[in-house]
Parts: sequence; C-alpha cells; structure tokens
Amino acid sequence: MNPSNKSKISKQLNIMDKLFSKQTLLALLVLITSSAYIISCTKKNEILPSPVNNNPIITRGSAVLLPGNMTTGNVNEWKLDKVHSNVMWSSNYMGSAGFLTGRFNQFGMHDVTTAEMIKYNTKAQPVKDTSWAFYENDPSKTYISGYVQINTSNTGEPGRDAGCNVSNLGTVAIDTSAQNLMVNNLAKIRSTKVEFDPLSAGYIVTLNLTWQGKLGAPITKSIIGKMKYVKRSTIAGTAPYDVFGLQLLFQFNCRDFGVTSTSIADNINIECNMNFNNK
Amino acid sequence: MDDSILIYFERLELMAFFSGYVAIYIFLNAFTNSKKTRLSKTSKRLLSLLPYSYTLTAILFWGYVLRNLFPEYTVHHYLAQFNAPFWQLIALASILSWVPIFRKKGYYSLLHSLFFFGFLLIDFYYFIIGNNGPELLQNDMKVFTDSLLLNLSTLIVIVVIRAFSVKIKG
Repeated sequence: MNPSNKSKISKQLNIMDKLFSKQTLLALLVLITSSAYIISCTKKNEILPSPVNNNPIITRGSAVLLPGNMTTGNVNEWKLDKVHSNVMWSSNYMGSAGFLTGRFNQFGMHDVTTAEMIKYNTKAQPVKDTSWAFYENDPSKTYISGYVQINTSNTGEPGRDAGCNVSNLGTVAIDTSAQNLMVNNLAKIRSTKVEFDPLSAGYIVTLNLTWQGKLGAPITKSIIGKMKYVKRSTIAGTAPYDVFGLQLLFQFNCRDFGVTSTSIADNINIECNMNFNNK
Repeated sequence: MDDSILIYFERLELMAFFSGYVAIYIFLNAFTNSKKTRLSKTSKRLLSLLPYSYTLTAILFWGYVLRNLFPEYTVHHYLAQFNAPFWQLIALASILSWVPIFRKKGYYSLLHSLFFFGFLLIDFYYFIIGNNGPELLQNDMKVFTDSLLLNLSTLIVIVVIRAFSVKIKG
C-alpha cells in the first residue's frame, strides 16, 4: 500500500473515531431516549384518578308545601297551576325510530276514587288538586297522586288523536263539553313510598299506576320514578307571589295494559311538570 | 387474538430484559477517558463488571423462559410456546456473555443488547416519519425504564459480590 493511500485511510478512521466517539454516542443516546421520553409523556391512556368522594354533596332545605283547601289568597295553601303545567309522554316510533311525543290536555293531582270515576259537565278541573304533600327534608311524609284523561292525548295530529289513539288505547272519543274521569278514560298514579335519591337532590318515588288500557278492567302496576323539586321562589310584582315546581319522570310498559299497537315501543316515558303557586 | 399482538408482547418482554444495558454501557464508557482519574477509574472498573451483570440478566431471562416451558422442555413445546422463537433464541444467546472470550472486551454484550435496543429505535423512526402514533413509543419507554432498572440492579448485585469476594480474598 502506498503512503498516500495509507494516510487517506488513517484520516478516514480518524473521522470515524470522532464521529463515533464515546461522548458522541452518549449524546446520541441521551438525545434519542430523552426525545422518546418526552414524546411518550402523554397522559392519554392514563387511568383517571379515583374520585375524592363518591358521595355527592346534597343540600336540602326544609320546605313544607301543602295544598290545604286551595283557598284563594291564602299564601300557605299551594294551588296547582294547571295552565302552566303539563304531562307529556314519549315513545320510540315503531319501537326503533325517534321519539313520538304528545301531551295530555287534561290532568290533575287528585287521587280519584271509584265513586269519583264519572263524567263531569264542566270545563274546569273536575276534582280538587289536593292529593299531595311535599316535605323537602322528610320524604316519608311526602306523597303525590295524579291522573290523566287518556282521550285528551295531543300529538298535534287531530286525525291520530281522535282516531287510532282512541281505539288503540281502549278509550272513548273526547267530549269537549265534559271532563271524562270514567274508568276506561282514566290513568292514575299514587305514590306508595318516597325516598331521598342518594345521588342527587331529587327523590325516588315508588308509584302505583292504575289504568285499564285495552284490558277488561283496570290493573295496577308498581313502578319507580324520579322526582325533582324546583325550589320555591318569589315572583316580584304589584302582588308578589311564590311558585315552586315538582317534576316527575317514570316509565311503564304499555303491553302490561293490553296496548298492542306497534306504532309505539313497549316503554312509554312520562314526564310530569307540575307548577304550583300560592296566589 | 391476532398473532402479531402476541409477537409484540414478546418483543416488549425481550426489551424489558436487555434494552437498558446499552444505555448503561454507553454512559459508563463515556467517562472512561475522563480527566478526573477517579471517575475514569471507577467507570473502567464498572465497565469491566458489566458483562457479568449482563450474564446475571441472561440467567434471569433463562429462568423466565424455563418457567414458561415447564414441565415440557422440548423443541416442539418451545416453538408452540413462543410466537417469535427466533428472537427468543437470540435472547437466550445472551448467556454466552459469560464465556471468557466474549466477556473480555464486553463488545458481545453490547452488540447483543443493541439488537433489542434496536426495537426502540425502529419505533422511534416510525414515529418520526409518521407511521406510528406515540402509543408504541410510550410502551417502549415504559419497558425501557424497567430494563434500565433491571440492568442497574444486576450491576449493583455484581458490584456487591465483587466487593465481598475482594474482601474475602483479603
């Protein structure tokens, strides 16, 4: 090998030595591993820390709200503001599509007895809305009752409301001059137990739902619902007054009551928004 | 389950045993030429012990493999047990770092562990060119950290044994 070639090779080796010197290797290692650590330092797949407390902080007041005799002007007696309340239902159309919804035009908060299951020739509330009591901090004393007139279901489609609704639900055509609380047109609820909801400020309500539906006679099913108290507040004005609300949500299986229509799902959701005032 | 995920798990296992050694080796090697003679001496001494610590890691790996094969130590069972038998075989070859000819310079153990460190480099490369998300790298770095700790532990064990043997020999 001639000397010039030899020096060329030694030069190249020198460069290689410098390129892969111990310090360069260390620098490379630090560079690669620290970059990889930084890149991988994502909390995306980290398991979330356990909650500090599984018990939500629930504060309840001590409101006691009773209907009394619903005497006008008595601020201690609470009246159902029927005009500003509603009972709505919803069910998946055909059992699988989006919600089919409606509301009942006629309803009340009265525990309708068998003797009261008649037709009333009035356009006002046929029976007093006094079958309820609400104790915010003592659910054992709280109770609610209510009813709807089935043939007043309003889906916004008069043809359906006065047509298949009547036949599918086993009721009779609406009589606009009367309030029909007869057995085949009445669905009613009555609470049997009210408890605190451990997960919210609401209440768990066990209800008896009584309805004839398409059956030969009314039957009663026990169901569980959830009730929310919308706190009492004052409406300012020349004659200030107070209002509060109770919202009740529950579901039932319409097949239990002989309803066979496949236009609606088995499960029917009911939402009752009751507003009260002390005018 | 797809075999590829099982192969991936095996790859992580192998990385957990051997990939951290490279970092320790390069780290110690960088200080062998230090002007501080004490640091340089310590690094050289530790570097000379590294093949032994690698052998200890290899023994641990052999134990792990033998435990997986228990009670049937046959080639057939070996092939059935592991989804990447070739990699396993390379990993098992780590025990050769105990053989004096390979142990003397320590290059064998470095080359051997570089093979498994290479998995990390490949994932890093694929991340840079955008083929992989950070998830694979995240797994790699967790395993690499474990491997660093394992190889450091084996080195500490060897240092302690060495210190004892020197003391006993007086």
